[in-house]
Amino acid sequence: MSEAATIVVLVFLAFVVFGGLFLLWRKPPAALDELDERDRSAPSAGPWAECPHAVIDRIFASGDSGFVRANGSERLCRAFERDRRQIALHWVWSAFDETHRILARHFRAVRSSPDLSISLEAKLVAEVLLHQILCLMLLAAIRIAGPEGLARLAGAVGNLRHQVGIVAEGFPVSAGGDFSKNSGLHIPS
Amino acid sequence: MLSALPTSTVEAAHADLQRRTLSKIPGNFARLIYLASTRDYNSARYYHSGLADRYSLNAAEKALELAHREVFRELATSALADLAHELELYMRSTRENPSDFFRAWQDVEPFRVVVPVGTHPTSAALFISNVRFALAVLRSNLKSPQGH
Repeated sequence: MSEAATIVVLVFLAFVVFGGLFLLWRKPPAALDELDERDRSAPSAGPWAECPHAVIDRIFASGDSGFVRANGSERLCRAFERDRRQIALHWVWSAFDETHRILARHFRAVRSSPDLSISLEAKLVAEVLLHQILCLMLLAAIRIAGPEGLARLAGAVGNLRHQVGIVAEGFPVSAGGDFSKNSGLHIPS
Repeated sequence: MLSALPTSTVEAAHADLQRRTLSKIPGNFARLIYLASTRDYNSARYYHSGLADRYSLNAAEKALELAHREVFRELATSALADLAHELELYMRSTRENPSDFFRAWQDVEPFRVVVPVGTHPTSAALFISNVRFALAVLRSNLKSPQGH
């Protein structure tokens, strides 16, 4: 592939990503205000708090809607699908936001670090980018088809989110500094 | 304060709680309600006099908290059909009139207060949503019995 073609492909990809961001940069209609409130106040939701994998698997599992369909009315099925979709969207947005915050906090902390490792920084940025792109894909898929059957993609997002947390935590304390400083975070002693 | 406790004491208190109390309660939903009821509404601290006498106040508190988290995690991640079954078991154990039970549970939503402190918001939302739908399904089955 020629250099020009590569640039065109890269520009196209950038358009797709930013287009996706533009289209999807909107919280779900009823963005579970209650959930957002809990997000802010959850005492154990430390800087790297993660949703348990089993919970993610359950949100994206396909058996529950079958149970409601077999035992409930059409109206109940629709309400169930709407509810699950909102929970799934909320989880993806929270993973997206949290990963963005991890990177921002990390950059703030390592800005003045003397022992900066370019390869580790590049690895973290690459993982965060991949995570955010997968989140956007997952958001689009949930909006189009609902969360059912997307367990593998959701699992990949969950694993990457975990990986980003590990990589960010793995930086030396001297480089990491105090993540809670000026960030409004409360880290229990 | 609690983290300074020897793990073995908490584990012993936890095992004691399982053996003497939780194993005698039928079903995880009933266990969840019981464990949540040992938590003070105002301070969110757990208290069990027998367990505190045998071990210590802090060991008992930690053991109750651990058991509460375990039972909640199991229910929050179980299939909706299993959760509905657990809920039905619990409803029967209360010996309450089913219509009254469903009306009270759907109006008051007491299951909201059984979520352990510090639970991930998505886990809590999934659990609350699942209980709501399990109640709706059980109630509709009560009106038109078809078995599931």
